[in-house]
Amino acid sequence: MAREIAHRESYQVALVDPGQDFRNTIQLVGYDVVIPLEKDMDGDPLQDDRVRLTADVGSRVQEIASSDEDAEHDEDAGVILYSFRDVPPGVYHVETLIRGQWIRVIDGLTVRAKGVFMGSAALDGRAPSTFETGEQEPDDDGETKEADLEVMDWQDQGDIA
Amino acid sequence: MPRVHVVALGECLSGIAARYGFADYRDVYRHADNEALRKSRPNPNVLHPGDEVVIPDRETKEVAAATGRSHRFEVKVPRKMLRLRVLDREGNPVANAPYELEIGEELRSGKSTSGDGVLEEKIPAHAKGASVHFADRTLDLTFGAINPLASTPDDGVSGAQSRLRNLGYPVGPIDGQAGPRTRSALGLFQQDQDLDATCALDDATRKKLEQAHGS
Repeated sequence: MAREIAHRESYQVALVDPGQDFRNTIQLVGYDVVIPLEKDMDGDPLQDDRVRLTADVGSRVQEIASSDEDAEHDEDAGVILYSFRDVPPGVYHVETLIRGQWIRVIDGLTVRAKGVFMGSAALDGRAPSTFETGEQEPDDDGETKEADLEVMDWQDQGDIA
Repeated sequence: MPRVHVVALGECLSGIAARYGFADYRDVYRHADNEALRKSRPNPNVLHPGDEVVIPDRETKEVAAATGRSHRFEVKVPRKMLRLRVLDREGNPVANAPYELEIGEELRSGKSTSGDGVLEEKIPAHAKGASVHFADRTLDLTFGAINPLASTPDDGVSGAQSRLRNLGYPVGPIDGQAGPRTRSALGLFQQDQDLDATCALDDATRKKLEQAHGS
């Protein structure tokens, strides 16, 4: 067997005795997370857009520029689909670089085996309108829907140094 | 007179028994003085550092043997098994996947996982670890380092960390500390198992972890 190993991972396991029912389960992980974001958020079409996915806890960070092959441009929708590869389960936030400063645009992005979620809503790769609009409508009981989704109005970012 | 062995990190009962001259670890584990150990550690392959194992006195056996000739004695040593279930990203079994198993200098080839994604291999009792090579990834396995989920000084946290990591939840270092990464992983696991996402290691979570991991 060829030894061109793309991944090498370490695990602690228990041996079993013949006749025992015990086993060890190892789940291979690493999901593709596609984040749709409005193009040219920094208002400068000459500069690459840069987006990064950062774990809320720990040090995992992945960064993609709009000129990278993992950034798919949807000119009709005016969005860029940023594909972060091999993302393990966890809670993440998304930031974009605007005028030299990383600005958080999505909070509480949860990567699980069952999918990628913002609050209780699954992220299916399309650009939800809530990415670009202002306030969310409250529920009947006054609670905000998709409470973990941080929504930003980019027109308000003009005074960022 | 029986002695007491305090388990160190990475030790399993087979290795401890062999160290004291017992070919079969069951002679140690089943000894009457180890009743408390059996109760707290129903799986003799999952001990915790600090556990106390009573080492009974060895029984002597006399065998008549003629001088001037060589004699062959056989010792029956219980076999150990590696039983591993491998799941893909969606949680489906990695079925019928070819692999090689590397244990020290030995390389076993021509094997495949079962339809349930399970591989089973006989392992020498003294082996500390092995590597399983699939086409696109290698799993480096350490034996005997997984801790119990309860009745430990860290209240099962390090055991939970090992199992969470095996199940694909990032926990950071396996240090027995319920830090932010471990709590986050616990919360995700609880969500996936339809438990209350308390991010704490409670009895319901221990039970689900044991079920999901299989040990």
